[in-house]
Amino acid sequence: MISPQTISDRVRQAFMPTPLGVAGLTDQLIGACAGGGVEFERVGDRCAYRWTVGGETHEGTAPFPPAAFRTVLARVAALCNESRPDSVTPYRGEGVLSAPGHAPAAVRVRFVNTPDQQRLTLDGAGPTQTVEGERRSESPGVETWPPGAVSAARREHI
Amino acid sequence: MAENVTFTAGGVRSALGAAAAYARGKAETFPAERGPAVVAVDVPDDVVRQAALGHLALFNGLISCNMTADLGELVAACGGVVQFDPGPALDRLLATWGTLSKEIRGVP
Repeated sequence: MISPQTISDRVRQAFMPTPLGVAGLTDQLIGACAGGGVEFERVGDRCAYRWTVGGETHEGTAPFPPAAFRTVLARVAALCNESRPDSVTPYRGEGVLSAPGHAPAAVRVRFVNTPDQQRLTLDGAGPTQTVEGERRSESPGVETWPPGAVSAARREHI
Repeated sequence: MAENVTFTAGGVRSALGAAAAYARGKAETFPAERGPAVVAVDVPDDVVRQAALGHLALFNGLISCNMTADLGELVAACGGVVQFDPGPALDRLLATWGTLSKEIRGVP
C-alpha cells in the first residue's frame, strides 16, 4: 500500500496532458491507482473523485466535465473486454486490469456508465493480483492510428 | 434520455473497441430490442472535424493535440471515436441527418 498522500499526488499527476488521447488519459488514471483506491463519480455537472485515508474520505474535482468522463468510462469498458472478451457491457461491469507503468500491479475496476449514473472505482490497494488470461494489450498510441485514415471512411454509430 | 451521439470512425482503431462488439454489449442489456445492429453513416468531414474539436475541448487540455491538425490526427486524438455532444456539431448533424447516406448492418 502506498501512502494516501501519494495517491492524491498521483491522481493529480494523472491529470497531466497526454498525447495519447483518451486511451492515454485512461491509462494514466488507472496507473495512478496502483497501490491505492480512488472512486470517480459524476456529481451534478462535475466529476468528483474520492479517496479514503485512515477512515477519512477526501474529495477532489476532476478537471473535465461528465461528458468527457463518459468517454473515459467507455474506454474502461473496452479495456475490460480486451482483457476478458464479453466480460462487461458498455453500461456496467468489473474486471482486473494491469496498471500501465506499474507491472505487474493490477487494478480492480468497477464502473457504471448510464445516463443516470456514471461512476468508476479503481482499487489497486489489495494484494498484488495476477492477471493471467486477462492481460490487456498495450494502449495504442497515435502512431498506430495513422492520420488521414478517416477522411474517406464511414462512421459507425455506436 | 440520451445526451449525445457517438460514432467510431471507419478504418480507424477505436479506443472503444469494434463497433460490432460494442453493439453486442448494448444488446445484451436490452434483450427485448431484437438484437444488435450498427448504423454506418457518411458524415461530412467538416462536421466530424467540428465534433472532434468540440469533444477534445471538453478535456480542458488534458489531451495534447494540434487543433489545426488534419482530420485523421484529430480523430486519432479522440481515440477513433467521434462524439457529438450538445452544441453546434450535433446541431449540424441533426440538421443534415435526413440527407446523409446510411446503412444498417446486422451484427452476428
